[in-house]
Amino acid sequence: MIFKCRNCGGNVVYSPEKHKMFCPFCESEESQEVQISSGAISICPDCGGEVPVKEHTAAIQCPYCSNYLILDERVEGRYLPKMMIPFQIGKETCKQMLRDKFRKKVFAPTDFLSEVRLNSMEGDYVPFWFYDYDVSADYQGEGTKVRSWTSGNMRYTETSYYDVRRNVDVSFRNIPVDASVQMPDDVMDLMEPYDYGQLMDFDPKYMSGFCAEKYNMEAGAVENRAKQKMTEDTVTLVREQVSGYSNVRQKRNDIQVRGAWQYYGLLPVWKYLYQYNNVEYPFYVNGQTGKIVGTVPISTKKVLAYACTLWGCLTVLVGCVSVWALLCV
Amino acid sequence: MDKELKREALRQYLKYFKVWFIITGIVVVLTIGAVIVRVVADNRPRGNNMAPTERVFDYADVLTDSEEQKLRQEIAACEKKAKIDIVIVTLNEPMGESDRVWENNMMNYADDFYDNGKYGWNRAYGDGALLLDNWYEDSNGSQKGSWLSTSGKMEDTIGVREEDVVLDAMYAYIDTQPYQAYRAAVYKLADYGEHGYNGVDEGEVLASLCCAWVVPFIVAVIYAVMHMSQSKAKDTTTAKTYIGREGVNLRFKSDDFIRKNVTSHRIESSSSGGGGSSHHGGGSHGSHRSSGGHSHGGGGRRR
Repeated sequence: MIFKCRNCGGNVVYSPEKHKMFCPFCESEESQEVQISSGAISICPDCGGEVPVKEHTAAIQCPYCSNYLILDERVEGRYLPKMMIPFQIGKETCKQMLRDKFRKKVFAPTDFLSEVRLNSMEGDYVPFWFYDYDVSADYQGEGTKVRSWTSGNMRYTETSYYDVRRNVDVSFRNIPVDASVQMPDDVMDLMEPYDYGQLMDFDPKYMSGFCAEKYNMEAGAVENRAKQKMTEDTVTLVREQVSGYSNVRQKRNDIQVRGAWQYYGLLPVWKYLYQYNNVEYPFYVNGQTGKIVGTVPISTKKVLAYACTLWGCLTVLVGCVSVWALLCV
Repeated sequence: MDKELKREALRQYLKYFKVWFIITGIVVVLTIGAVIVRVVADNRPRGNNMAPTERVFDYADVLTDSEEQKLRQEIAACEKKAKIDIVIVTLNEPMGESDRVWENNMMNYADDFYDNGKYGWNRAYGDGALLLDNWYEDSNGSQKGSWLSTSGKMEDTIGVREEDVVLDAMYAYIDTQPYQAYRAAVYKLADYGEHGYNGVDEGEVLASLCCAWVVPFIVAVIYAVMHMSQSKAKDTTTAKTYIGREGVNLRFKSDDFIRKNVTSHRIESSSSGGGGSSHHGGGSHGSHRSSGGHSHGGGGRRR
């Protein structure tokens, strides 16, 4: 489908800044009407150009007419997301955030933050599985309390041992795990957390103006990551319930899952791929919170130039200080 | 494109080091200026015409006439180089049997001699040093010893350590070759006058050169490493990030006492260790005023 403008026929896109559908051609707002495509998914229904649709593409920009296409059959049926967070940060804001964050990285290549390079940034809706768990944790440990006092010239230390038991129910909601082979897991974990206050039911209009993938990893295949997060968090939360001891030795901590649910949804990510010396340096920006994940490439020439200049300046300054010291005595 | 990138890189570089270049430039200009001023000042002729030309007063008569003459010539050469007045006075007079009286008398004699002669390279009572060496000895014992009276820049330069160096150099010869002894003292004083309290120490010069190169190098390496190190991002989730509205519900809690252990140990009484105290021999080294009201430094000791 394509969102077309009723007034001018242009492609209406979702504007994160305005939080509305917006036609960049006639600047009208909420003027969209849906144009359903009927032909092959790799053919642009607007201009007829061939679109490089990949196996998991759910939304893409036509390279010929620049319209954003949403592939109906990849957001329907089993691929219909239950929920999503629309982009809250627009491209210009995202560019500025990258500039602000990396401005002090003096050894970054000169054009790393150039307008031309940053314009290549792309907004992607990444498929995620969200897991809900209701768990019970049965904890037993041995706690020690230590008390010391002095009497005369003797020092006494009393160690008391306690049998510590806790039974805690914890409800986890929406533990996210990315369902994309293309997206690196560690990076997607670092993008968290998203603010679920803005989580809403899926609406394809929010995809207009962005690219997207359908899930390409089944819920069962990635659930281990969610379970691992849940287990680690449960252990921490149960330990928080045990206090007042000098030391606690855990004897057992049985975590039982009483209920588990999973949902499919989309989360917004800005992606900036920077190529330097034939190596790709990807940067990901949380499209809602603006959290940036990525490491800047280092220009060896800059490192040498800057470090040597600093060395030279300091040498001259220390030399001058030495001369002053000699002059003053 | 490449040219534009290079131009942009140069612009970023100059912008980044702008403050460094300005500060370094100012410091270099000021240093060059100071060196020029110092060189001009160093080449300034003697500014005191009130002092007598005599520098060797051998009242104890321990030097031959030719030795006195040689010493005068050497003092003249050293004074020109170090820009200080150097006066040698030998005595054979009682200065007091107790250390305190001896030191007081020696100090006053040396200070007054310097002041009465209005010595000083740059002005009367200015830069210079006077070495007073007493040879007095009687049936009650020896009052032999030396006192160094310093003035002007030498007052700041000669401290306890430097004074010891001068007197040690002198005492190596004093009993057998008085001329060599005074000559050694004159050269040491001239050395301090010319180079300050550091004197000319090749090791220290080498160390300061290394310092001027190596320390900035280390700083530059640290700077480079610090700017190169980076992490992808921090994990900002906590154990409570994904807790639902139902939250954490503590259903059961028990803390049952099992047993206790009590251990004891005797507190060892600690005895205080005796501290050492050090005593440094020798007369006063602080700044003081002579009877003429002029500031002097220095000190001395018996031998």
